[in-house]
Amino acid sequence: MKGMLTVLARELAEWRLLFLVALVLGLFPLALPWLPNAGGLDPAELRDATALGLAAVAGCVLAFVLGASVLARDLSERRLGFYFVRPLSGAAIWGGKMLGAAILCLGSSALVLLPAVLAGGDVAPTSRWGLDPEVLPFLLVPGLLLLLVGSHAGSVMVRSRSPWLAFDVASLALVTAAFWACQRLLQREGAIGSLQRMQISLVWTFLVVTAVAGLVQVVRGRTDLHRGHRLLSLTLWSLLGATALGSFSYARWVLGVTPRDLTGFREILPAPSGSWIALGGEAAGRGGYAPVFLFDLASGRSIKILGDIEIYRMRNPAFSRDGSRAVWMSWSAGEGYVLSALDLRRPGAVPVQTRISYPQRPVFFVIAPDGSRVAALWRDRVTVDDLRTGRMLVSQLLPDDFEYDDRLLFIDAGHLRIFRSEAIERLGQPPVWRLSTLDLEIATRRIVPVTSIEMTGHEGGFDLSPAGTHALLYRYPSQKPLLADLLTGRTMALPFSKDPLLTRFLPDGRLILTEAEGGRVLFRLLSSEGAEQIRIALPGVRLLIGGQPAPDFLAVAAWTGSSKDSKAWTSWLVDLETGHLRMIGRGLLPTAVGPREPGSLPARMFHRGRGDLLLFDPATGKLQTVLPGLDRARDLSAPWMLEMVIPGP
Amino acid sequence: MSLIEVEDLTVRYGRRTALEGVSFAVPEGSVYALLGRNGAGKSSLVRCLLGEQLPVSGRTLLLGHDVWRERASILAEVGVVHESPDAPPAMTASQLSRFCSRLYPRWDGAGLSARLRRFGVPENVPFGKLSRGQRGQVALGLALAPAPRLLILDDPTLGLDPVARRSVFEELIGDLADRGTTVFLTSHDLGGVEGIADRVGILQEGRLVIDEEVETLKRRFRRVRLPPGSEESPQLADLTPVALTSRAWGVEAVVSGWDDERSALPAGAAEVSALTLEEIFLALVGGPQ
Repeated sequence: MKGMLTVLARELAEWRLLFLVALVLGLFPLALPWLPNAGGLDPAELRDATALGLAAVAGCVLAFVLGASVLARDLSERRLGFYFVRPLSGAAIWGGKMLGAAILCLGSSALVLLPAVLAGGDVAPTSRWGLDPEVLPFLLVPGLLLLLVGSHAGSVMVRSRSPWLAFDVASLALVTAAFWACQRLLQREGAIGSLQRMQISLVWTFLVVTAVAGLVQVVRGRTDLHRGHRLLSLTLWSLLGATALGSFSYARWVLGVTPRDLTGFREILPAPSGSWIALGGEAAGRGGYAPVFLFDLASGRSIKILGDIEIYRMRNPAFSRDGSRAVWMSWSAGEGYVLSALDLRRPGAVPVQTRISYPQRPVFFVIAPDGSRVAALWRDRVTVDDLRTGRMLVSQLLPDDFEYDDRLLFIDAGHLRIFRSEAIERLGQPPVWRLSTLDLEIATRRIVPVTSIEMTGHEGGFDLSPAGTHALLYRYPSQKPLLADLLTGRTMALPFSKDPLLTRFLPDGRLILTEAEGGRVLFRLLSSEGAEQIRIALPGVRLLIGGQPAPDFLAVAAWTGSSKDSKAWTSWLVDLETGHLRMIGRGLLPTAVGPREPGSLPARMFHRGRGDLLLFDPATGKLQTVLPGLDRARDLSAPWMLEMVIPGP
Repeated sequence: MSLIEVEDLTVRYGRRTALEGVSFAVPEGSVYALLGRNGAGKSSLVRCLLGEQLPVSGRTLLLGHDVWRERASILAEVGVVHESPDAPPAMTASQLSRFCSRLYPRWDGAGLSARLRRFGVPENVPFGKLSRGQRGQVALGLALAPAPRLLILDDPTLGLDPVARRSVFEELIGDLADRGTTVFLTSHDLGGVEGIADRVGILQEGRLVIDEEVETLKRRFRRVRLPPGSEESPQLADLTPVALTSRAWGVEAVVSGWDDERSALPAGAAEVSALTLEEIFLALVGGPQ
């Protein structure tokens, strides 16, 4: 240590003038606001930005120059022998010189900033350059030090002028390609958090590896430049090669995630029928990587389809109503949003990339009930493509611009229904909200207006019946929806008696109304014509309507307390014939919150928090764990989010 | 005790062999001169002695320790002057002295100053701006200041004028007399070496062809002048001739097997004379065979 400190002190003494130069350089930004051409710019802004820029440039230039000279130049000019004939270990020589260079480099940068800081400036790179404060400290200093040790390594390679330089160039190309490929792999799969974590780790690893290679070069190669170069290259490239392999292993581990690795299920989308669900969530220990899977409840088979859960929010994937096919969009550079499909009924089927791709995200995207076609709604047109052949069947201009709230629904494989909601402002008149329904006959490509319903009031929303013949119309801020017949244009007020909570269509078109009544929730089942069939009261203040685990039975969950308390949710099975209630369990929520085929596996699915996925057997009343979650203790506030983001079939 | 022990040392650079099976020892208190033509392997040997070069095989012990493994601790008791005196060019002699004083357990800074003054070397001029001779004096002073048990000098008089050369050897001799320091040196200045060396080694094409005391060497080497046609005489063959030169008056032979008490002159020999170290060296590695 004494030897290293002696060498360090000597390096600092030799280059001490740099500190003075840095300090003088740091005074320059203070003078900038008084220069004639600085007019128009905020003086403090100009001073701080200049100081920061100069500090960065000074740091980088010094790291490069000192890295290339403090050891490598002595070595190539045969002056390193002066140190090697003294009682100094190779490590002390390397450590003293490189530490000295690091202090000079970082110290000079700090001194350039000092005058601006003393003048009250804000020179934090995070605020000035908008850099992530959580990432920057891990990149800035190691990045500068990496430049220093990398410059040393490069300088040794170039100065030795040995054939090993060719090996270095080839290795550099190989290792760069390997890291680039690894980075692209994670980037393409949407594992951005894992990628960022890997990049930070790599900067540190590169720093350590390059430093170790330099150390080995000096300790083992000593004053022999060629031998030192050989040792440096062998150490550097073998360690970087191992790092590249490690990075690939890490990427494979990240991307090899299964549903069982998810800390919780952030999004769950059951298919309308059949046995498949889509589920997504954050994978454990993978830097926030949140992939989406297709999961077969019957066989336990899972297929990762998307690496970015955000895409999932765009009705992605879409299941055909008969449960035979899932289609999803994934981003591919150069191709846009490419559609892939999976045949859900064929055991062992693998995802197939279709020939269909979209240049951008459509406003709405839907798959035909039999899974044969897909339709997409754009701002100005509707397109229909054949999934098997990739042939575009329809690309029809629409009369107006369409927006996010507008929807499509396949009536059958040959007919598409288009719903458009718009707010109309007319001068001097009260605002009007209009829901237009149009039918597209795919064979003739003809668009026929069906109805147009106008209501006074600001923009509203609508829920469609599974067949697309009726809709619940909401005029904000009113909580009471109207029932609309979209084929005739007639509207009808629903018979609410209390404060309405939630209104839902059942798969057969019947309606459920829920209302708050004191400390209870009133549950009312109406026929599709609006006649009340049953009325029951459940303990709780909010109700979640799930799927039908069996025909004529409906799963609901009542909320009785704080959303933080997972036990506050109680799931019930409602007999839709008699109104009889049977408790399924506490702390449970039905997963399917939209209409699903009664009795299908997705309609029987429950989850505990964001954790365990359970399958309910209506015959025995038993629950079977299908997928254990790692994060079962998380709160149960998810269902509202699920309800918002998961559309009906 | 030997302060330097070299055992079966082989050094290769790629396919080129710089040293091949070199072995020798330098007893404590002696002066060992390693001689050889340029490219004979002297610098490689010195680099091995200083722990800067890892041999392909063999080992080098300094002060009884493996120098490759324990270089730093061994060098606390070893003074070194490189072939071309090296030091950071911006450092003055006094700065170099201060720097080195922190590294050695003993440091005679005053002695170093006195020595530099004696040779007229300015202490406050950067090393890079000193003349070749002054740099050599600084390097020698730095090597002697820690009062080393062993001094390794790699051609310390290279490039010096005759006066400076003489002063280096005189300085050395003075110090040796005072301290009993063991010295290992390489040099092309055979005249200077002859006066101070106890033992000599001669390297030829990477092999140590001579390793013995200077006096013994000089005793067994003789120049013999013979009449014409004596090249094949059996008596000459008994004296182990190493070099034969044809002259107008006859043949001049350098023999390595002379024994003052037992050797007899070949029939018709005109003259037998002693050789200087330089003449022996030339006969062995430089002269026509």
